[in-house]
Amino acid sequence: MSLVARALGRRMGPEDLGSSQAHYKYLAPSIALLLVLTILPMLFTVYLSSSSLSYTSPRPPRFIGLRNYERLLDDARFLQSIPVSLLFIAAPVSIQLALGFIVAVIMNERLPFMRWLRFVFVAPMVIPPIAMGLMWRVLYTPHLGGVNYFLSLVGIDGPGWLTEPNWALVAIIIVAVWGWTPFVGLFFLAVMQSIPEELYEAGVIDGATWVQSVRHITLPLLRPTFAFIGIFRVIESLGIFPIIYIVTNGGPATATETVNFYGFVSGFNNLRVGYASAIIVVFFLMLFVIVAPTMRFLLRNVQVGD
Amino acid sequence: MKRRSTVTTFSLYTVGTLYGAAVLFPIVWMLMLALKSQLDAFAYPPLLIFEPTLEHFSAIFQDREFLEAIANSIIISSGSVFFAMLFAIPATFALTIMQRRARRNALLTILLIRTAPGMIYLLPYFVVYSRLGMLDTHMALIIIYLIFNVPLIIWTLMPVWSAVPRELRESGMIDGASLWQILFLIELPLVRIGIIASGIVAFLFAWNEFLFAVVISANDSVTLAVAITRYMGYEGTEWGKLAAAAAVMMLPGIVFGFLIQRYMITGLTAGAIKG
Repeated sequence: MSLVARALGRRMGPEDLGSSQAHYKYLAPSIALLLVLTILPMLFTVYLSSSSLSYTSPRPPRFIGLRNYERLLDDARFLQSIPVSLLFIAAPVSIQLALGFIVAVIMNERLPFMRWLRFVFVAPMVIPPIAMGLMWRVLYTPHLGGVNYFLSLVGIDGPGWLTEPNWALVAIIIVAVWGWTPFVGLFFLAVMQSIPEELYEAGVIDGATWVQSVRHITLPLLRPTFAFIGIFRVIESLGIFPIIYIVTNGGPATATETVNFYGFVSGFNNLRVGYASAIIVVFFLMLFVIVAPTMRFLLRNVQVGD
Repeated sequence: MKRRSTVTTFSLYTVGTLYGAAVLFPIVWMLMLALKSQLDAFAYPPLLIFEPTLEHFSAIFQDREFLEAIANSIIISSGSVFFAMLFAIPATFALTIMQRRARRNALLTILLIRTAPGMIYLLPYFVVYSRLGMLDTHMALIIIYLIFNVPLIIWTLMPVWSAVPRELRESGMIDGASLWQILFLIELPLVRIGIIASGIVAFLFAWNEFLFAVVISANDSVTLAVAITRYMGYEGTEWGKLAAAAAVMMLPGIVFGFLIQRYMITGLTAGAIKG
C-alpha cells in the first residue's frame, strides 16, 4: 500500500480498480476480434452446409436444406471416419497421460544425470508437427527408415506400416504419443513440484515405500490436472491433421481418415464446399458432445489465472 | 524426501533412458538422412557411420522457392505477432484488474477458442477470401493467426503480469495516472520478459502452422511448412532435401524453444492446478 493511501486511511486494493468498469474497454477489442473471427465463420459454415456450393459444378449454388446431411448418412467413407476419429482421441490421449505421468515422476526425482535427459524429453515440444510427420514418414518407409531394421535386429519381421490399414492406424498413434507426451509430462512435472515436501515426509514416517507415496500422495493430488490436461489433449487430438496429412495422407485407401480430414478432402480436393461444410458441422457437434461435460467439471473444480 | 529402494532407482534410470532414446531416435535419424548422400541413404542395412555431406543443404539454399518460403514465413509470423500484441497486451492488463470470477470465465473462453481445431473455421475463410481476392496473400494468414495468437499471448503473459505488485498500480492511481498511463509507463516495462516470451511462443505457432497455410497460401505467400512438402513431389520424393529442409524449419523452435521452455507451459499451469 502506498504512503498516500495509508495516510488517507483507505485501502486501495485491486478491488477498487476492479469496481470501476474502465478497464473493460481494454479487454473489449480482443473479445470482439475473437468473436468476429470465430463465431461468424462458424455461422457461415452452418449456412454453407445447406447449400449445394461446389467449385467443380457449373451450376450456381442453391439452398438444399438438409440434403447434405442426408447424404452423409449414406456415405460409407464418412461413417468410417467417425470411429477413426474416436480411436485417435482415446488411444493417444490415454497413453500420453499415463506415459507423461511416468516421465514426470522420473524427472521429479532429481536423479543425477537424469536432469540432463530433461532436455531430451522436451525436444518434441519445439518440433513443428509437419517436421514430426516427415521424420516418422521417413522412419516408416521401407529401407530408408530405421523402424523395421531395428525390429529385424531383435528378430521381429516389421509390418508394412503405411500399407496395412491397421498398422497405419498404429503408426499415427505412435507419432501422436511421441509428439505430445512431453507437453503432458512437463505439465505434470510443474504441478508435482508444487506439492509440499512435508506430505512425503509424513508418508515416510508412516512407513510408505516409494511406490506407495507416488500411488497415494502424488497421483491423487494430480487428479484435477489429469482432467485439465486431458480435456486439452482431447480437443487437440480431435483436430489432428498435419501428422495424418504427411505420414499416411489418410491412407492406405481411406483407413486413417478422421472426420475433419475427410472434411478437408471434400472441401479442398473435391471442392464440394457445401458438403464439406456439413461434415465440419458434424465435426463441431462431436467436439461439443465430448467437451461440454468435461468443461462443466473444469469450471467447478479448477482455478485459473490467480 | 521419498525413500527409494535400489530396485526403484534402477527402474527409474532404465525407463528414463529407454524413453530418452525413443525420443531421440527419430530426430537423429532424420538429421543423419539430411547429411547422407543419395546412395548412402538407401543402403541396406542402414549406414550408421558414413561420410557426411552438405549437398542437400546447399541444394535447398540455392532453391529460390525455398528461400522465398522462409521469407514468407518470417513476414507472416512476425506480422501476426505484431497485430496480436496490439490486442493481447491491453487485454491481459484488463484481466489482471478484473475480479477473480469474471477473469476465470474470460480466460477459459479465450483458451477454448485457441484450442478449437482450425478445421471448424477453415472453409468459410477460404470462401470469403476467394470472393475478396485475398487468397495467397500474407495478410490473409496474418488475420487468421490472430485467432490463435491473441489467446496464446494472453495465456503466456498472464502469469508474468499477475506477479507485478499491485502497489505500483495503486500509487499510480493516487498520483492521478490514467489506466492508459499505468499500462504503458508503469507496468509494460516490468513485463518485458513476458512480452518477449509470449512473442516467441506466438511466432513459433505461426511458423509451424500447416492447415490454414496449405489452403490459403499457394505461390506468392507460400510458407515454409507448406513449401517443404513439395519435396515430396510427383516425380518421387527427394528424401535428402526433405530432411535438410525439415532440419532448417526446426531451427527457430530449437533455438528459442529452450530459452523459453518454462513459459511454454506456465501459462497453463499457473493457478490452473490449485484444484
